[in-house]
Amino acid sequence: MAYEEREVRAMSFIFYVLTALTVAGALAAVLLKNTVHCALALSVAFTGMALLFLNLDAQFAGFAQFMVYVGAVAILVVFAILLTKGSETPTGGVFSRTWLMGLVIAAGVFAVLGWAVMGSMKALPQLTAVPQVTVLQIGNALVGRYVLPLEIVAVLLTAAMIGAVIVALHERSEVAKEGQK
Amino acid sequence: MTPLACYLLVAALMFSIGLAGALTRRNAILVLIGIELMLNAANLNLIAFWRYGPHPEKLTGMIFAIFSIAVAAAEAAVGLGVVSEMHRHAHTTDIYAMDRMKGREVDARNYFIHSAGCGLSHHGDSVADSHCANSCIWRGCALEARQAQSLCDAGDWFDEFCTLTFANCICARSGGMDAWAGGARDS
Amino acid sequence: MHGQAVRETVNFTWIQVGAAHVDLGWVLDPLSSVMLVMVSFVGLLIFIYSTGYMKDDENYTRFFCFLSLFAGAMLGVVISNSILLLFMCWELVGLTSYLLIGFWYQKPSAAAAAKKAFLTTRVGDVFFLLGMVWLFSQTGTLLFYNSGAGSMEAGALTGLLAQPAAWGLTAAGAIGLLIFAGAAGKSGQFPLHVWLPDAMEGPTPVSALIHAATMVAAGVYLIARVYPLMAAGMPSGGTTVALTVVTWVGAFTAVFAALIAVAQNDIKRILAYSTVSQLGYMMAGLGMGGVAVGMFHLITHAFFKALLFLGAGSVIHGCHGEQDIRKMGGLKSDMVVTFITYSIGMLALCGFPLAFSGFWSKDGILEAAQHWSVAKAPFYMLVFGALLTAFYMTRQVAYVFFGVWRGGKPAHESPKSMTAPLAILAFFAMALGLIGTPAWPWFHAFLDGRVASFNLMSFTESGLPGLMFSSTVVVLCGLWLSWKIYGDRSPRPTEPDALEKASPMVWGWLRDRLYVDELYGATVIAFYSWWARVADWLDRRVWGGAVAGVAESFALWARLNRFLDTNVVDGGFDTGCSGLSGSGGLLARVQTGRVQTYLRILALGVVALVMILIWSSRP
Repeated sequence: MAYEEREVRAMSFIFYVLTALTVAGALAAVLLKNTVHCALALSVAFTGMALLFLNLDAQFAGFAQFMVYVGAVAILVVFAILLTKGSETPTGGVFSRTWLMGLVIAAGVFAVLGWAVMGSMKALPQLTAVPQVTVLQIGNALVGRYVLPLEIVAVLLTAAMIGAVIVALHERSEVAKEGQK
Repeated sequence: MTPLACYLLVAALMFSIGLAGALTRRNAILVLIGIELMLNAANLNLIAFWRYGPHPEKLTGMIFAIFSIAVAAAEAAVGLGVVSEMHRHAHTTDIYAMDRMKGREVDARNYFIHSAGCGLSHHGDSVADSHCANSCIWRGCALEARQAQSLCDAGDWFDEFCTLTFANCICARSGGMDAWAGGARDS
Repeated sequence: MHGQAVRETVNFTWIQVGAAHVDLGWVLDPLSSVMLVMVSFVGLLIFIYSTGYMKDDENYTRFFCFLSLFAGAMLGVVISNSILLLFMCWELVGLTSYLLIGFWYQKPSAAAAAKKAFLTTRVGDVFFLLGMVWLFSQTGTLLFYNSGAGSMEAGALTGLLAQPAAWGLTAAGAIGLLIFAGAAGKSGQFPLHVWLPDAMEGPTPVSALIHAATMVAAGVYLIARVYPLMAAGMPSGGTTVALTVVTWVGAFTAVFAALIAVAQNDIKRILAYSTVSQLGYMMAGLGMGGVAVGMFHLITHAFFKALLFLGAGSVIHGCHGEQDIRKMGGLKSDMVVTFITYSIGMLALCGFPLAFSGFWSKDGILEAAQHWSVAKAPFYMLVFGALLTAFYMTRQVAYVFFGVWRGGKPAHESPKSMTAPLAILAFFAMALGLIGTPAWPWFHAFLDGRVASFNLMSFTESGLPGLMFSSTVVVLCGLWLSWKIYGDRSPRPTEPDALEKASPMVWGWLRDRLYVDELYGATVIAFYSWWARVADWLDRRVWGGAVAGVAESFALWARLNRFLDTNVVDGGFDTGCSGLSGSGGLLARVQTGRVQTYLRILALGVVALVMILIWSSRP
């Protein structure tokens, strides 16, 4: 069909590069033996994702992703690794003994998702114009239409913070006890 | 092959990679990493659908993704806090050490009687001074408890595991965490 | 031929089933009254005698218990107006006879003799029962006399005469023969006589009362009672088939038993065979001369035979239990009273003329035989029998009372309780003759319901003086012959008898009772034992096997059920439960407690659900 031919065009080169980067980062994150290396690869993956967002003209989301994930989550992961002595090389093996089963299941999930996508390509919406999104618009939406989720997320974040504090407190008392011994 | 389909496939690939990591790695932190990857893939999906959807001016996808990011961050924080807490108790982040949900076999009578006096975890302590060692005589674990003790003293242990915990007389053997109190054997 | 006798009856219905009714009743007529008097009087004397005879026996009470039962039953037979009641008392009499013969049951010979008596009379009783049932079915009544409706009365008899049975007989004749078969068993006629000699195993009073005077006479009484039936349809000057048979059997028995009695050495056995012989005389008398003739001999025989038996008992008692006549002897001086009374009885039995009752009663029979229209042979047989009777009785008396004592300890006389009845009986043995002489036939007239007149001229009736003379000659011949052979000689027990020396073979036959018992043993008894073995085998193997088989099949069924219950029901249930718990255990393995496992399962579940979702939403 001419219509489809017109629509089907090769993805841009930058897309492939970014995809490769992200996927490589993700693979490294799950495959590497050293946990810290995994965390760093994770950061790469996050970066790749942010760039993909930018490629998709979701600038705000992209930068938010970058700031939050790379700037906070990845660091957090590194902190956790360091705190739990994850940098040491484990002797019992990093993968579970039944890793193949897990792999198969993950492959199965991918297969299903891929099949769903390929099978519904005709139903997927076609090209649209590039949306012009301003931060003002996002801000308006947040406090306008989506104010409820916003508040709920705020509560959620508060709870998370309190939980983290409690955990830290517990940690302190534990440390105190061990200090006495 | 529409661009949307491509992005969706990428998201699917990321999701599967993250799932594979979550399902196969032994370290709890890496499981969390896998989960983060999965969440990212979902975000990509959202953004892609927002971009190539019918009403991008509604900003639905974008806002959803933002919220998702926020929630994911909170969850990562809490999760990692839990992991460090776990590490404090078990001195390991191996998820195989966390099978308290496992359905214990019979002989619970023995089990609880013996573990009554053992309520402390000993980080790095030799097993010897704990009456947990004495009470861990269920199903031939006594020998392994002694072994664990000696191994602990020598510092040659695996996976930072050298203790007896409350109500969980764990006798470990080097080479794999597959000998547990109560005769529980992994499948 | 009977006249219009006075008869009183008392009848009542015992059982009523619809239209049929079973009647019982009593009759009092001359026939039953003479029997009543005889049975009670002789019975009384024997009861008194027994108090002395059985004094030292430890079962004294049991003896009198049975003896009293017997007396009651015998009286029941005698006064019964219903053939069923007669049969019932008949059976009771047989039972008490069995009990009394086997009184000393520890002796095997006594027990065997009792059984033999019971079974032999049973054979006769079967025929009696058949005749009774036939009579009842034909006439419709069990009563003999019932104001014209009884079975012995004219109406019933004509009906029976009109009914033909097999072999040219009428129903009356056939029934009469059947009833005679029953009487033959009880009264020891040939061939059912074998039990009587063996019945001497019982105590002597029993032998005297039952097997001499009363029970054996019951058969004769029965024939007398049903005489109207036996004589029904008798042509004038002739006789019926039934009565002919009765006569011949009686005559034959008389001679047969007398022959055997000659060669016996047991004092009581001689008397037993003598009884059989005399019963034959009675039957012959009934057959040829009618009720009065036979009954008169029955009455006189009862007295002198009881006397003889009681005397024999006294002798045995005096000889300290010895019964072999070859081991006795010379008792006439040691036991005087016994000797005198015994001699009187013996002479009465022989028929010594004029002073003794036996002469008159036996002559009555001989007279009837002489005038019998059918044949003369019975007369000669009976005369020969009289000769033999005199012969063997003299032999016995010579052995026992004369000669020298050949026994062990010396004999002594019996006590008064035993000798007094002897004396009384001896008196009657002589005196009874007076009521039956032709000059004054009171007895015969009484039975017929007439009044007898004293008429000495009746002695001149045709043939009577000749008969009396010839019978006297015969008796004296027998006495003299025997005395000549056995006289005062007392051969030692080991020596053979004088006659035995003369003809050992014939003596052997006679001593061995002409082999009738052996014949029965080879035929009837042998068959019976074989049949008993067959029946036992059937019972144990076939019927018992069937029962055991049923029981075994039930046991098998029970075992099968138990097997099913244990293995199928319980086993199935147990297997189900263990399967359930096993699969539960298997499923529990999913709960590893490890997060990764749960996550994997989650992922699998999601995959499955998504696939279902996509599949179902396809167009």
